[in-house]
Amino acid sequence: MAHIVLFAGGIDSRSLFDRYKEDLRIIGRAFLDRPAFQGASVTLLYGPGGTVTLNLGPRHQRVAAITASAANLEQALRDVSRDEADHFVFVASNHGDLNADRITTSLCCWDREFVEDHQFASWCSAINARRQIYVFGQCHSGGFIPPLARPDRCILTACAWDEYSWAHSSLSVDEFILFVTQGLRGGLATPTEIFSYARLRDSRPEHPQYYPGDVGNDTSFLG
Amino acid sequence: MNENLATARVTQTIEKEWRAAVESGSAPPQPALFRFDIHIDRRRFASGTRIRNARGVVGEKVGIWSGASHPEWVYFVDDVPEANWAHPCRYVFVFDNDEIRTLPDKLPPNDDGPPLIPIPIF
Repeated sequence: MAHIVLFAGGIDSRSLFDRYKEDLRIIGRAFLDRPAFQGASVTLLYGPGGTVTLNLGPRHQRVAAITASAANLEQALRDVSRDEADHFVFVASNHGDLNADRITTSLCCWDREFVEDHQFASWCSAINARRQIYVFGQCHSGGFIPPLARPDRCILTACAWDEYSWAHSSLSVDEFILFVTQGLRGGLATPTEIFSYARLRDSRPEHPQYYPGDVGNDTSFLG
Repeated sequence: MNENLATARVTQTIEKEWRAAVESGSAPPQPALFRFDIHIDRRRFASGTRIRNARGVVGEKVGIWSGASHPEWVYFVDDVPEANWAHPCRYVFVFDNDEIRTLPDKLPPNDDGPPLIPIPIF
């Protein structure tokens, strides 16, 4: 059993760019195409939710979005923690911020809410999947590694804690998410290989970060 | 200051700063400039019209809205249009005494405020 949570808060209608939906679509589908995730349950949190749906492949043709609020994100993570799953995937696209203390960071939600890195980590603390992978595409996403790092997790981020993250030059997707997706699609065996692939191809002025945990080199992780 | 003059001054300033940065050897992205589609007259100012982003009222901590004069025209400069937020941006305030103040920020204006009109620079 596997769970996938896809998240793009977007701040508000002015900052919810179409590319975030595309980010979640391509990477969500790439995970679902890997053997370990083919029967996965998917939770999609995107902007205001409502009528937004994503086609994530044959078994997930109309995944309906719910509002990407902080409360819904917390609930989605708590729901995941109730099950004994082997695999858990969390992907965030969209915006992030460096907090006023200039040390900790936040993930942007819908309607101008923010979730701080340590708050997010506490919501994930009860998730007991044996293999967990987190992909963060937002600005300052490297700040999510220290509070979240644990041996059963590997964490990939688009940039360091003090950097902003970038769209691909086409503006249709985010740079780092695109290349992580390509790595997944290309059949690379481990998260470590996928991260190396994405980091080498990322041509934007951002420095992707990686925490492998004990599972980053596990060749059975992605199937 | 009338709208056309205010826009011309802000546009020229943004372009000049960008070209100076390029000539100094750095390679900054071309900024995107917008004008808030509102004239903040005395009535609007008194009624509490302010520019806000996700972290609060823009410029409140540095007294933009509490001095003897008040902003009439406000511009928004996205300095890295191809990056996700938060990233460098600026709010430019043109006051009713013709003073222009530029305030660095990192978040865009909320969607529930005045619309933004793109202003070509280059």
